[in-house]
Amino acid sequence: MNEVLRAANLGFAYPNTKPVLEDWTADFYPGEIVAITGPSGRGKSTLMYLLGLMLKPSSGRVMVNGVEASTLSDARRAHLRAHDFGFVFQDAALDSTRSVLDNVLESTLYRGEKRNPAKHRALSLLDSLGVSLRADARPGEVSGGQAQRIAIARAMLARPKIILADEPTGNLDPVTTAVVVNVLREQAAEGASVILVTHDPELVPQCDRELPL
Amino acid sequence: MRQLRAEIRESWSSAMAMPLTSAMVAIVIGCMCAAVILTSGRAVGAQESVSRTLDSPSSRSVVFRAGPDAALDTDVLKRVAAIDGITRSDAFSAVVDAENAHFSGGERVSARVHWTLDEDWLTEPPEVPNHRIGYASVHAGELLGLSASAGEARLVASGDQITVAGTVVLPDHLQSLQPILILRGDPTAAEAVSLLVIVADSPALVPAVRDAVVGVLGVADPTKVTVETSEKFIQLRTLVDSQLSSFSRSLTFGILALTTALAAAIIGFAVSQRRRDFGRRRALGASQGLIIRLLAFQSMILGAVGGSLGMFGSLFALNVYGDPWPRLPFLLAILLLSQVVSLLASVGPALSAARREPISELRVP
Repeated sequence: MNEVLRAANLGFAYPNTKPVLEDWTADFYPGEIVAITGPSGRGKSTLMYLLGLMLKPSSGRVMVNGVEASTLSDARRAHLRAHDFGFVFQDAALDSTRSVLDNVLESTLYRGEKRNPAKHRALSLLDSLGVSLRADARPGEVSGGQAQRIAIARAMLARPKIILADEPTGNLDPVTTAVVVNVLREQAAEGASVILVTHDPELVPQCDRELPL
Repeated sequence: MRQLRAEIRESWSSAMAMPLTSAMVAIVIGCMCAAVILTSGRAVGAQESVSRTLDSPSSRSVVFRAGPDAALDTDVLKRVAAIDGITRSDAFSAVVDAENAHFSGGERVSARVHWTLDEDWLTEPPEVPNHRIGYASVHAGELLGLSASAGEARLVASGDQITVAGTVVLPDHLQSLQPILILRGDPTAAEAVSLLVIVADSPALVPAVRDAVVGVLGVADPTKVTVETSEKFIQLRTLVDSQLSSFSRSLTFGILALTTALAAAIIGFAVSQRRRDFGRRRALGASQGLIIRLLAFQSMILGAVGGSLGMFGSLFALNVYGDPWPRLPFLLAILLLSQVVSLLASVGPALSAARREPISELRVP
């Protein structure tokens, strides 16, 4: 099976600091869940932003579907992020001025998709993640766990080929963690490559592979 | 087109999500429009009003006065008609005295025969056999003691009877002839002309028209004809135009520059408060171009709202104070300027927002 995402000899250093990442190589395949683990400060989040085409590597390459993506123009990388990637950030990063539903539907604008056809899937995803809210509820009205599940629904809306999640279960209780893992596994079963950056020792055994940093 | 609509809708939602900042931007741009209309717009209104006055037929007229021995006759009207740039021409005979036909020794008024090839401002005369028809100005009618400017008058020198058929309202450029009794003349008959009044199409054409008409007067001795023009009015118009236009331009430019700086500062502050928002958008797939467009649209929407409110508010104020409104093109230009100012004000903040790195905005230490 061909890899959907490949990091080849990846290196990265912030200006005037020693490298966070050096010569890091990994392949990610459809249908698997990979946990990237390691202690704080080892560059796990930086790696996620590199794999997600939000940072340009200092050295090495990021290949998406066999195409070198790290050197593409900003517009092309944005297009790939909107269509092929789903992101879950450490603190959900919801827009507090919009409704929960609008948050889940946000990326339709960046993909140039109609909102109305995507609404049904958005509501269905929220339901499968156990978030039963009024459609016009605001992120300020939900708990941290619910916010994280809303962020997961947002990441899954476009059925991305690659899901990058930074500590997706960090704010969740064990029951909700199980729900989230099940949903991520369903996405993997549908062909997505799920990459988790996590500290959670309970989560690692539920993944197909672990890549320690 | 659908994507454009979606981006504009998103920009509107973003503006509504920050009501205080949005209101401030709209108010600043609204105040700009009001300030421009109430200062430059007022000046333009005044300028247009003065220009309209200066452009009136009175200031576009050229008056030729021919002495009795100048031999200027009504054929000149045909020659003048061939000249471009002339609105109308009126020829008058020398003045003769007229008095009330029924009592001698009363007030006398000037009487002149009038010829024109243009549309006559005298009404069609009634058919009165063996009588000449005349029209008296209101004042002339009063001096002659005629009721409603109608009755009988007599030319003192010749004793000819005149039937005064009604009142004549002289055009503005002939007001200096009042009080007068006007007799309709036949322009096809060659008769001596004492006064020729030409109205040019525009003040700027007056010198050229004057020279052209002098060339077709057909008199043996041009020194017997004196020419009066309103060139001082033309000079005054040029002065008014240049002074008021220069004042309006400087003032408008100053207000625009100040407004752009203020609006840019407010939008820049708003962008700095929404760094995470732009970081998230970039991460989820918004290109730098899209971020710039969203902020530009947002700013232009606020500019349109503020500009419209400022314009209608200031027009209401002009109405209250009874000042002239600037013309529609000026108002449309102000609305366009409000859009340009909004766009310019958004450029810096939009570029800054588009360059936000998602990792520096979204990463939790």
